[in-house]
Amino acid sequence: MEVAVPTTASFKRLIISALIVPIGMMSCIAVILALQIKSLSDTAAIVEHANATVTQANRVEKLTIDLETGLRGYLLTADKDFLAPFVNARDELARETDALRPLFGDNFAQVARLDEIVVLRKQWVGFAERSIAALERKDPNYLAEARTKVGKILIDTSRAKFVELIGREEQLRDERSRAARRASWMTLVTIAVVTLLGGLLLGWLARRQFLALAGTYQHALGESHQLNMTLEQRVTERTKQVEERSTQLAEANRELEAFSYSISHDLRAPMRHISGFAELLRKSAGPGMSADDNDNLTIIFDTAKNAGRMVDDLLALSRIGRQHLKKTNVDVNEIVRLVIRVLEPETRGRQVEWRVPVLPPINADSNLLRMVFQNLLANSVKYSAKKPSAVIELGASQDNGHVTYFIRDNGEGFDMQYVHKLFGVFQRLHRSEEFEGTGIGLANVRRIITRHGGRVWAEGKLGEGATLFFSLPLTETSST
Amino acid sequence: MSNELKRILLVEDSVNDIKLTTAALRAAGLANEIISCRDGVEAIEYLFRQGQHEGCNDGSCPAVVLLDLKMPRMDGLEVLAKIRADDRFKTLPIVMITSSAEEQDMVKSYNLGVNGYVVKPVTHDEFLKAIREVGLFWAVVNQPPPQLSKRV
Repeated sequence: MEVAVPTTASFKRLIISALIVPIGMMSCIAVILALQIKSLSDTAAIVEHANATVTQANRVEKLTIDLETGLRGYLLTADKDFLAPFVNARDELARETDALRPLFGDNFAQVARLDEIVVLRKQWVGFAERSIAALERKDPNYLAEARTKVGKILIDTSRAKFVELIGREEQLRDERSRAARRASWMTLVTIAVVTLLGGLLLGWLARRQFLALAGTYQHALGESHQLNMTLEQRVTERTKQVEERSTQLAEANRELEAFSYSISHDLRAPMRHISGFAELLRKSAGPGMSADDNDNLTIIFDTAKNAGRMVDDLLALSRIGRQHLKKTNVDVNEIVRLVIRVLEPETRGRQVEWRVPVLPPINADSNLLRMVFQNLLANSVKYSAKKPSAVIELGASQDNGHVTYFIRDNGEGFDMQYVHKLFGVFQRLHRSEEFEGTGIGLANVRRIITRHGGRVWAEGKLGEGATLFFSLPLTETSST
Repeated sequence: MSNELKRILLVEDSVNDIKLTTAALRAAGLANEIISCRDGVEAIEYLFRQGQHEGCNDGSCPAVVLLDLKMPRMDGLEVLAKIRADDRFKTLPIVMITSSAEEQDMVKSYNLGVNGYVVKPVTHDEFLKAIREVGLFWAVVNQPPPQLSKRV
């Protein structure tokens, strides 16, 4: 059976996607941040530039004040010492103004203003130099030009222009500064929003992947559970099969027994007919029959009789298998007495010594147990027939919840090599000419004892006798 | 009326058994007429005066019916049940002569009201002995039920 267990490849894909998605998101945020920071620093540079411009402009303005202050001092005192700042500022002014101009860059309006201021300054410097030259010439009207207020107008205009210039520059700077602040706010807000959204997205993605993973595992778990179930089911099925098989076996066994019963049943009639008609023939022939014919008829008669007996024994065997056990507390001594009396005709004229102690009772089917003793004692009587004085001894012992009975004789015995054949059906250890029998008696004994939950065994030595044992479980009703 | 004159009805499907049983009865010195039926249907026809047989109409109902158990068409137990179900034959002596020593066959037979149950012995000596004893008892020693002999 195939189970959808997550493969290594699909796991890798899962892990990679789980890593790539957040890394990608973070990279995006980083890029956005970098761009924002760059634009912020750009704005900061612009603001700084504007500041520098304003500072430079102020320096230029300061030089202008120096120019004016120097001129004023000299014109008031005619002392050349006061003129020094004027001279310095005049030289410096051109340099500083030149330094200021490129700071405006592309802002032509400011450059134009500056140029205007430069022109005004130049005119004013011209006025100043003319006034200074008039004073040096000791011209009594050296203040005449100053009094026209042309110089004042020039410087005031220039200053006003300057204030405008600086004001414009400061305005620009403030605008950029505000823009920069807005931009940084925007950046913060963007980062916050992007981080929040990204976090949510990541969370959602992670949850989805986790659920997918959990789903896969649940599925795999379910399938493995199902596999377990299938296994259990298979065990149950197999057990059922075994049960069915044993039922079938029991059925087959019953059928076999029924078959053996009906076969032996059907065989009885022909055996009876053979011996019957042989007998009729003997009677009708009368005394005129030859000795050979008579012998042959006897053989037919005896053979049929023997076969018939075999069939009877087989019937008994099959009946033992089917019969219901009717267990009672059986007095074994009584059974033995009865069997010995039944065997009396066969021991007549022989010297047979029975050694029978008091035997313990047992819980068993009394009819079947009688059959056991009948078979075993008859066997002992039969196989000790050739001994001048037969001794048949019985006994019993009790241990481990079992009673063991034995029957010992000093008869023909048997070779222990063949002991395993002793209790088999149709198994004989002696030729039938020596000892007649059907080979079923001990098989019956074993069957009966086995049905009672006991066992049979034997010991023997050829020519010296045999001992047959059987043990039966001792149940409460049979305890003494 | 003498018992010797009464018939013996032998219901048996095996020709060999009919011959041997007849021989055994004759060997026992019984001269009674022996009617043999080959199965249960013939036996019922004979007794109930159906079919080819005239049956008991001449006043000589059988002294005993020797009935085999296992037969074709109708077996011994069915024959027994039919005979006992009829008022005229409730007391007719019937003895099972069968190979079956099965306990349940015996129980069923006795429950159906059989008068005797004899298992055919395997050895011929014992068979002869058994048939002689059954024949002599039912045909000679036994007094038949009065109403049966007076009937018809």
